[in-house]
Amino acid sequence: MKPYLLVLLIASLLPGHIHSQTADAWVTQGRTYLGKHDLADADNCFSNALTVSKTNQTANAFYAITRLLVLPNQPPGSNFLTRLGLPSSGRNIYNWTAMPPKDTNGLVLAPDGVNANEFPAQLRTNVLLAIAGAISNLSLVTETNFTVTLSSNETTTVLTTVDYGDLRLIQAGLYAAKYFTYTLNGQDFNAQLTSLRALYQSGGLTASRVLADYPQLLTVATTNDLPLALASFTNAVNTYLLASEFIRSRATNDVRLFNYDPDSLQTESNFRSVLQELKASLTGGPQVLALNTNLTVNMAPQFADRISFRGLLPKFDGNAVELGSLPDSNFDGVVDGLTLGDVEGFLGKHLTMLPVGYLPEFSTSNTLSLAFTTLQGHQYVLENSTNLSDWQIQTNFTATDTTSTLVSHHSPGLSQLFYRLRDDTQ
Amino acid sequence: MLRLKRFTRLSCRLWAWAYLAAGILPFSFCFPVAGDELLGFVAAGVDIWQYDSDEAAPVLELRAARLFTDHERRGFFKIGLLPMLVAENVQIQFRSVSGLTNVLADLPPWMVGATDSHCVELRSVELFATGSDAIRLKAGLARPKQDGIWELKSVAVFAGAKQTFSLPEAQFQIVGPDAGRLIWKLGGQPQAISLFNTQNPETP
Repeated sequence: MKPYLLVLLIASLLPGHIHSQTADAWVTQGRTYLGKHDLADADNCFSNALTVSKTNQTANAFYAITRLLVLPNQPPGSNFLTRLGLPSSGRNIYNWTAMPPKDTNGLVLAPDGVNANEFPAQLRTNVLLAIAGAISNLSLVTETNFTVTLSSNETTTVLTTVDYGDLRLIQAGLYAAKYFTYTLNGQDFNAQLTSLRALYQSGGLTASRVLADYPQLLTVATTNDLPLALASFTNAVNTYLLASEFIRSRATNDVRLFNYDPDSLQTESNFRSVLQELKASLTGGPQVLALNTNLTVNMAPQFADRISFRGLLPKFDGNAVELGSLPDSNFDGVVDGLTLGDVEGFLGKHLTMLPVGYLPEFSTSNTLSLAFTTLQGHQYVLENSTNLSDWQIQTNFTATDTTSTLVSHHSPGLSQLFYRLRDDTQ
Repeated sequence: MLRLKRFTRLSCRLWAWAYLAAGILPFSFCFPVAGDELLGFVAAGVDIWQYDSDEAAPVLELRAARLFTDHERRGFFKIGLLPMLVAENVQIQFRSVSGLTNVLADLPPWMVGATDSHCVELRSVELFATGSDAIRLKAGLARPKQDGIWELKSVAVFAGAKQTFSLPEAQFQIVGPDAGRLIWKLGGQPQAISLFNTQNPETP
């Protein structure tokens, strides 16, 4: 290397080099890189701007975003993507083409030795740091009249003005991401991806099989992060309420990154109402939902107890849910007032729900009482058979409760009869 | 061939006026629908007639009460980064169901999904053939997709003045050999009907 190049290199590494230009100049330079979609250099410039002036509002706003966008190309993120088998080429956030390798049938290959619990761990160890940093940067944008106009080159779509309300909304989203990361990280996801893929290939990948093969899956792994999850949740709610108020109070002809939608007036208002009640429950105990006074909510148990996701799951038969097997329709006290029928009705919109028979009761008058767990509103067909091979319809009915009881009369000479209940809902 | 009948009010901050000045307004409905040039675009009372080369009467008339720019919604908010063109109270009337494939395929490209599919939304759409007892398709919302399909919401099909059936969601094939085909799902099973096929009518 020629001596003058070496001097230049050393000079560029010295702190004095960063201070050789103003924070605003670094921001301008960073935006030029951003317009050219050079995220790494843009991120570096915004970082330098903050070295010169820690409180520069515009630099904080840009650095909050770019430090997240560069994650896939920084060593921890890049190494993890490589570990997952993603090719190093095509990891361009503006035109992402790097996809996991597939077999000849188009099925994604599971990377050798990768465990599902590496995903929440990666989030907790690396992504969360960047999120926390971005939140800190956004916290330093304190002027409510702050605006910055992004060119179409910078946004890749259209010229857009970002203001204080937009940044608060992004910050609220980042707090929410922190809350979900802490919550996920508290659960056990210990399962080898290659084993799951093998099950899938053999047609055996079902909820019941996975839960049976991994008895610790979705149990509590750690409660260390619960206080951090609580703080993130509270901050997410507070920041969202602030952002929403700001955005709703803007002049109607102001077009910003996030804009108030009159069609969402009611639903957004409902959302805020629920958020406020959830937050109030952390300090004031169970809160009656204004939207449905039959329900009370209480977020406190989630941050105080060892709630495991697995403990809230119903029993599965394959991928179907056994009706009546939901262990706790109040989800460990988080929601009170939900009935078993409410929860199963909701699950029934998305999953197959299997009726389950109770032990039959035989009376002295040759009548058999058959009780089944059922889904309200569903149509069922009761069939019987003497040999488990030939089935005939005995009756059909529409369930009006979570349990349906049928009475069957038998001739005295009948030695055995088998029954099954089939969901015949169209 | 497209001819513009009238343009009662047109205002566009950036480039629709440039089209006017250049005298190429009759062709302006082939505009791209993304980018800064879309911002602030407003037009009202738009009629487009489509002619076959060998016929004096139009084979298709397209009316839109209003064209304007809006933004796509994500969650509770409209996103400033995602502008879209909205056509409101759209009526598409074709004189004959014969050759419907060609007629629909010649709709403006932005309307059949030939451009960026996320940037156009048709609100309150009616599609019908001339005639008092003709089949009439109405949809509260239509979004052209890139494969020549409209994603429809709040769909109702009429025969004359009588509503024959309604659907919360459906797809409508707007180009290709199956143009005029309405597709939806019932109990997870796909259903379809060729709405304007008088030769081989189907019933849902």
